[in-house]
Amino acid sequence: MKKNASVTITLLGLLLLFLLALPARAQNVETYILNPGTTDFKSDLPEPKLDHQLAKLVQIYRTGGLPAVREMARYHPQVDLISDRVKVVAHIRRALALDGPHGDLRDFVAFLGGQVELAREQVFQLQIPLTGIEKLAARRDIRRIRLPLKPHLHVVTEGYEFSGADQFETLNGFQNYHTPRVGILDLGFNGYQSLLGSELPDEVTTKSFRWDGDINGGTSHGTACAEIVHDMCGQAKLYFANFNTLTEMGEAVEWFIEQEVDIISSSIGWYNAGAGDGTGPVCRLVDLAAANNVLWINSSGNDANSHWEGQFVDDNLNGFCDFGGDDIFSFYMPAYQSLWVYMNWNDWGTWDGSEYSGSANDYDLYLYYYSGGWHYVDSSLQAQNGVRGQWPVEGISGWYSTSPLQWGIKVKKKTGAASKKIELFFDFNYSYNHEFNHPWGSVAIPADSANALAVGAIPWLSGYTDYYYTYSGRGPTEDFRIKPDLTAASSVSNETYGTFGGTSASCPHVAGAIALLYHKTPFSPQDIVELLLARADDWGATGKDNIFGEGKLDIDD
Amino acid sequence: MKRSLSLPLVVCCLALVFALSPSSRAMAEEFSASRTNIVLKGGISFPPKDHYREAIFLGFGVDFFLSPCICLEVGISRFSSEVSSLEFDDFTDQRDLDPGTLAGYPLQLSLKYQFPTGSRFVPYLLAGGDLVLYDHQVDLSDWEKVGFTGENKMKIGFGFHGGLGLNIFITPGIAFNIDTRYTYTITGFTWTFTDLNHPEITVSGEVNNLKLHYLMATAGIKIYF
Repeated sequence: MKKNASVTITLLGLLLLFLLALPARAQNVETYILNPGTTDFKSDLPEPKLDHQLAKLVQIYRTGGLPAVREMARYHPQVDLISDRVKVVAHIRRALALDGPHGDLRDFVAFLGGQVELAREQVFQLQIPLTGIEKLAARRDIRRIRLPLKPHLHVVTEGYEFSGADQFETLNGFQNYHTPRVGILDLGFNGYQSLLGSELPDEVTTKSFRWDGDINGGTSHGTACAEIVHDMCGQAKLYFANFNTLTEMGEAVEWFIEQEVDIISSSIGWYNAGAGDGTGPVCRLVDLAAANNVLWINSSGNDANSHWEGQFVDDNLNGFCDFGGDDIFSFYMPAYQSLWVYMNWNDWGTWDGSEYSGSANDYDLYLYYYSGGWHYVDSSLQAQNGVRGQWPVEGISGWYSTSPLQWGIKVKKKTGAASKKIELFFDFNYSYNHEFNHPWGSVAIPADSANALAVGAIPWLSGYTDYYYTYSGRGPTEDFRIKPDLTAASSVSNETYGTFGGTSASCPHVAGAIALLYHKTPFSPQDIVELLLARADDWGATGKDNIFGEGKLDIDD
Repeated sequence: MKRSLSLPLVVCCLALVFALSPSSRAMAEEFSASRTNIVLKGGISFPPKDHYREAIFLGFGVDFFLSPCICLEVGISRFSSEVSSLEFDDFTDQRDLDPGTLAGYPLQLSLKYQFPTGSRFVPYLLAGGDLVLYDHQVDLSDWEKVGFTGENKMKIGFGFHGGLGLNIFITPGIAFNIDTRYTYTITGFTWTFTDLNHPEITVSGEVNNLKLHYLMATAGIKIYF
């Protein structure tokens, strides 16, 4: 019996030893995530007094030089690189430190080309050239050198609570734990790498459809949108795709479909890209997504204050549209701000799924500036003579002045053309300067699509029931459907922008809310849209209206 | 769960060894185990999965003897178990019951072989089939706060079981019984999930092939006729 027991105990002991050895063995295999441009990181670590991150930095400097370190610093917010100096914290040995007033250490850091920023107890915060880190570490009075610890802001959009999403945080999934896949369609995702694991999931799937393959795309707009989706549904798997042209956007949408995303969140609008009735090449991509059971959530645009539409009227018969007693529609622009004006009229013809039959009523657009009188600057004179694919659009952009200036446009109808409804879009960033404004029908393309859930913007502050942001794009569409479909919080806290406003911020709240419910409930995304529309708080006019749609996003009913 | 299993198994094995020992056989003639009897028992049902809790088990059974060593046991019992939620990371495509209370009413038909020890200790082996009425009450109190309701409606489960036990005669007409048996059933359920304020928005589904298996360890009193 005793012998058997001892054998058993020995075997158990061996098993225990084996099990205990497993993690230890695993720890010996180190994995390094390398940034683009850095060289492979070998196990030949420098001075042992350096902490791991700093040792890696030194190693990268050894093998790749300053450019490689700069590249690393781009993706590591904890690395502060000031020219060729890096900010570090040096811990001093107490006994040695008490021998003298650290004066020689300051001198030594200066001798290396660095400087001490702060000294507190036995900790020195200093800037030191990359070449001097190991020399500093070699001193006997240095116990350890590391990269400075930094706090990390965790910004959660106020829309999380405002929409009731917080009520779902501790709920267990009912018959379900879908991992929702949300595609963020945008122009760029600058800075997203530094937010991974904090404001964004630990990992995201990205693909750039720009010709240069740059996922950053020169803007952080997509990153800011993705932050909100992640705030609303931390379990969502995110896919980022950026583009710069409609062709590239088509590729991006097809990629999302291939990735089997459930939801596309697009805070992007287009001008002169369709009839405003849900047809056109951009809306076709929304239809493509819908045909593949992918929900498309789109911002309704920020153009309500910078939009005008009305019937072409020419009482004085000079061929130009009358605007308030004259032929000029004036607007101001600040100095050095490029202007743009887009015009279209309701003569697109029939959309056959790939192209419009085209316009046979020719209008032109003229640009003027005011200086003691109106002076001609530019014109847009595209032909519309009934040829298939001739869109009823004109546009002028790129002009600016060196001082604030009053500009004006004229709209001319060619002889023989029928009177049509003219629609004008100006830069919404300077919308307070327009002579005329007609907010209705300002909903952006492709939010006009019947297959897109259009989202308008409202403030999230308590006590502001029935308030809305006046810029928020409104319906109706050209075929008289009500838009937007929902409204959600905007001007919310955001790590990327500080405060993120516009309908761009509202759209990902809805996309994230759908993802959250898809994660926690057995409803399909399409069911959830129905649910959200039913649960929306009916703000504004009773029932669905062209400012709030069905109302404020409110998922906890 | 494995640790929980070992105790009743060890007890049964020890009892079996003791029952077969020569000293026990001396009391042989006093006790006749091949008589119709009823048993009242209670115990613990050990759950099949981590998110099912142990259940208190109460049961009743009757033995009808077909031969001196072989009898037919008909038993009915009840157990009730708490079902906790699955963690997100543990969730697989295999659907399972939602959190709540699962009650089961197994009707068991067993063929039992009693070892002819002739002593007051009578061990036995058994195997048989199961028909189980399940009732699952989903705990939706948190969901109702956000305007949803739902249910899991269980189907009848079918399965089989096998086990062993020991009767220890206290008097010629009364025996103490310990029993352990492993039961494996296959069942299913339908579920619905509904928006409380918009009942037209509802979704439902069906889960089949839900495997519920558990180990029952009981102790009871047998009365012989």
